[in-house]
Amino acid sequence: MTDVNGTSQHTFDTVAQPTWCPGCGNFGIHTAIKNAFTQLGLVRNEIAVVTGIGCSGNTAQWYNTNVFHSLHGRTLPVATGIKLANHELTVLAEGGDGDGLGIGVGHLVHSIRRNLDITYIIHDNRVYGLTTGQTSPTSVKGFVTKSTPTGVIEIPVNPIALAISSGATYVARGYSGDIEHLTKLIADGIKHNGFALIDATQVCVSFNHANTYSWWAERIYRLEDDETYDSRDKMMAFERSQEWGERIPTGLFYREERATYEDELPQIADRPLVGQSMDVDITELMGEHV
Amino acid sequence: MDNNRLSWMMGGEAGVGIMAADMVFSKTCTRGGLHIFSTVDYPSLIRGGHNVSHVQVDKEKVYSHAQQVDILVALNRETIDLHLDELSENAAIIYDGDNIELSYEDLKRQDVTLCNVPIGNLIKTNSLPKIVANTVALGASFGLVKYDLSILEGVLRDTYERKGESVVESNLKAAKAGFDYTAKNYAGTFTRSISPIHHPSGGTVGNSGTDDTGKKDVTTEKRMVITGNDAIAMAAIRAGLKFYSAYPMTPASSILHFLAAHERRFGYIVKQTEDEIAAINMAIGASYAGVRSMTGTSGGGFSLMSEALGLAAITETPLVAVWGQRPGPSTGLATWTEQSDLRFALSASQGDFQRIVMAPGDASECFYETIRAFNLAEKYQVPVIIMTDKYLAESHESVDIFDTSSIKIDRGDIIAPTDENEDVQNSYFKRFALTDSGISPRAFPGAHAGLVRVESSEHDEYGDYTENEDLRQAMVDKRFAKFDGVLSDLGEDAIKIMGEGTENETQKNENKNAITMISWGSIKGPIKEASKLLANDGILVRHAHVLYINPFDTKKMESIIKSADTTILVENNKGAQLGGVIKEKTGLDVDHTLLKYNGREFYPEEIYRKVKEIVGAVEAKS
Repeated sequence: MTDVNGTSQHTFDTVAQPTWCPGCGNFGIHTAIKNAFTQLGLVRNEIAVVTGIGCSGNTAQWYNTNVFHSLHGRTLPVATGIKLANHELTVLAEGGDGDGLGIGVGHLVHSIRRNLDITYIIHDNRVYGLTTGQTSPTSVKGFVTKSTPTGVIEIPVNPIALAISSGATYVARGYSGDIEHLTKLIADGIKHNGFALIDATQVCVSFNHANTYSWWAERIYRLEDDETYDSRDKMMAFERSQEWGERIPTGLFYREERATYEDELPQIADRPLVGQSMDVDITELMGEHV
Repeated sequence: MDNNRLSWMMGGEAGVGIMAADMVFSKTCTRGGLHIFSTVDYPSLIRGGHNVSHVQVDKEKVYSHAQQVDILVALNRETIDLHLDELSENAAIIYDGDNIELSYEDLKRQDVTLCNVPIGNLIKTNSLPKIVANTVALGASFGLVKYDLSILEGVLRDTYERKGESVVESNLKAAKAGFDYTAKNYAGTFTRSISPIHHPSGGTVGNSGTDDTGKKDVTTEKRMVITGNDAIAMAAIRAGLKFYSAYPMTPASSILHFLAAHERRFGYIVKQTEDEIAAINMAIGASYAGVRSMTGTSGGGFSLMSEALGLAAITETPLVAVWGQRPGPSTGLATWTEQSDLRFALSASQGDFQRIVMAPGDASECFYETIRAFNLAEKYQVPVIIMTDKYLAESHESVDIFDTSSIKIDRGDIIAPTDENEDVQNSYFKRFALTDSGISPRAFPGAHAGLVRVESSEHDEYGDYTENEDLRQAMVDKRFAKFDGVLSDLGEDAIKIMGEGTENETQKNENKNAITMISWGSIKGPIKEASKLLANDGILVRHAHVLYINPFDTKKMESIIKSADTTILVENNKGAQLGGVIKEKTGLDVDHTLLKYNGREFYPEEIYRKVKEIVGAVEAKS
C-alpha cells in the first residue's frame, strides 16, 4: 500500500513496514537511498526504482515512487529499457550480490560499458538470505553454508575491480552501518552523468555470522580520509580495489566523465522516445524496395 | 510452354554473390510487371559451402517456391550435381565451359540446352573485376529468355549506386557482355522467354513511363520485393515502434538489421543486447515506460526469453515478440526451416497465463498482422508472439505497396495526462484495478502524479505484493478475463478460409472430391500453388489457414472439420503440433496428415502428389 495521505511529492515512505529481519543491513541502504532522493530534491513520480529478487528486491514495496519489481538478475535490462524510453526519469536499480554478481553478472558488465545514466546499488551481504542461507558470489573462500557444508571453494567476485575494469565511470563502496556516508555516495552517484555502481556492503544477521557489524566496524575506513588517494586515477583505483582484510576501503574509488549512451543517440536529443509522435509515414521506405 | 513463367536458379559457393544476384534478378522481373517468389538456401557458413537462389517468375501472383528448374545457372560444378534432377523438360544450364566440364553424356539426357557462357573470358576481355561473375551470369540469363536489358541495367544501377560509379559501370558492362553472348548464341534455340508486362516508370531505367508493349491497360502499380522479415520491420515502424532490442539469431537477424538501418531516420532506438534475456527485459522496461517495443529471436533465443514472457504477463506490460522458427532441438539446422516450436510458444514460461500466438503466412500478412499485434498487445496488455520460420522470414516475394491509409493505432485504455481522475493525480493509483473487462487503464511513469507500481510477484490493485488468497484468485481471473475479447476482435480472421466462394462455386458443389487442407504459417503459399495444380485436375481445395493459434477459434474449426469430406493437415514438423491443438480444442481428428521435417519447406508439387494419392484412394474405395 502506498501512503494515503501522501501530500508531499518528496515523501518516499509508504505506509507498509519492511519485512526484513530486525538489524538487517537493508534498512540502512533503503534509508540512505530515500535520504539521497530527498537531499537531491527529487520528485517521486519522476523516479523509477527497479529491483530484483531477494531480500533486497522486496524493497520495491517500500518506496513511494514508480517501481518495477523485476526478475532475479534482470534489474539492469529493465532499467535500461525504461531509461532509453524516457531518459528524463531518474532510474535507480538495486539488487543483491546474487542478483547482480551471480545470475545477472553479464548484464552488469554490459550495463557498465554502455554507461547509461543509471544508478545501480548492490546489496552486498555475501550470502543468500531469502532462500535461507546459501553461498553467494561474494562469499569468502571457506565460507560454510547449507549449500557449501565443507566451505566455499571459489574465491569471491570483487565488484569494485570488476566495475573499474569494465569501464565504469562511477565506482563506490558504502556500508549499511554508515548511513550518512552511504547517502552521500548514492546522491553523488545519482548526480553523476553516467552509470554509477555503489557496492553497498551490509550484514545479514540471520545467515552470515562471519561478516558481522563488529567485523565490518573493525575494518572499514573512508577513502576520503586518505589524502594520498586520487579517485581520478584509474590504476590507483584498481590497486586499492584489491585491498581486503585487515582494512577495507569505503567511499569513491573511481570517477570519470564520459558521454552516456543516451548522449550518443541523436534520435532522443530533443525529447525522450515517450514524447515522440507515433504517426509515421513509410511511403518512401516502401518505395525503396521496389 | 507457358510464356512469362520461369523457374530460375543460381548456385555457387558462399561469397560469390548469390544473394545479391537473387535480389537483382527478382527486382528486374518485378519492375517489368511480373511476379516473383524467391528463396535463398545457404549453409551455416560465411565462405564456402553451397548457396542457391531459386526464383519463380510468373505473370500472375506466385505464392511459393517450386521443385522444378527451367534455367540453372551454375557458378560451380556442385550446383549441377546437386540440382540436375530438378531440371524441367527442355531446361537450360548456364555455365562457364572453361571451368566446368559438361557434356550430354554426363547429363544422361538430351533435352537440356547446354548454354556455355565463357564468364571468365568475358570478364577478362572487358577488363572487369572477377567479382562481377554473378552479374555476367544474370545478363546471360536475361539474354537467354529475351528479356529487356534496360530493366536489368536500371536495377543494377540502383543496387550498386552507393558503391560508386565504377562499381556501377563494371556491373553494367558485365551484364551486357553476358546478355549479348546468350542472345546471340542461344536465345534462338531456347524456347522459353519472359517479357515485361510494362516498363517501370521513373528516371533510373530510361524508359520513363512508356509502355513498349502497347498494353496501356496493364497495371503500372509498383511492387516491392521484400521478405517476411522486411514486412514485419516496416509494419513495426508504421505502428509507431520506438524500441527494438534483440540478440542476433537466424532467421530473425534481418529484422534487427532492417530496423537498425532506419533508426535515426524514423526516431526509434534499436539495441543489440548481450543476450536474449536482456533483449526481452529491455523491451518490457521500455513498454512499461510508455513506448511500443518489440523483440525478435528464434527458438533458442526464446528459450532464454521464456521467464520474462511471464514477467510481461503478470505485470500486464504490452510486448510484441517475433519468433522466427528453425529446426531444433538445440542448434538444429541453423539456416533451414521448420514449424516445430508451436507447442513451446503456446506454453513457454511458468504459470497459467494467456499470450496471443499468431502465425502470418506471407509477406502481406506479416505486415498487416504485425500492425494488429501492436494494437492487441496494448489493448489487452498481453504478450503477442508473431511466429514465422526461416522460409517466410527470408524468402522474397513481390507484393503490392501496402495500403497504409486505413491503419489505425489503438493504444488501448491509457489515462491522459490531463485526466482529473483522483486516483491518477495522487500517488494512490490502481494500475491493476479489478474491472469487469479485466482490462485496467494504464498510465506511464512520470506522466501523472500517480505512481506506476508493478510487481513480478502477485500483487494487489496498486501493484503491491500480496499473498492474499482472494486477491490472488481475482488477479488470475482478471488476467484471463481480459483475453476473452481477443477472439471477437479477430472475427473471421482468426482462421482464414481460402478457396471458397470462387467462380468455381458450382463446380465445387458438384465435386465430390473437394479437399479441405488445414495449415498454419508459411505453408499457406505452397498450398495456394498446389491448389492451382489441383484445380487443373478438377480437384478443388478449401484451405483453412490458422492465423491465430491462441486464442483458438474452436467453433470455426469444428465447423470446418465437420463440413469437410476429407481433411488433410499439412505441417512442417514431426509431431503434427497444430493437429494436437485442434484435437485438444475440438476433440476432432483430421483424416490425413502431411508432415515434413527435413529442414526444407514443402514444395507445391509434394502437396499436389499427396492430395492426388488421397483422392485416388477415396475414389478406389467408392
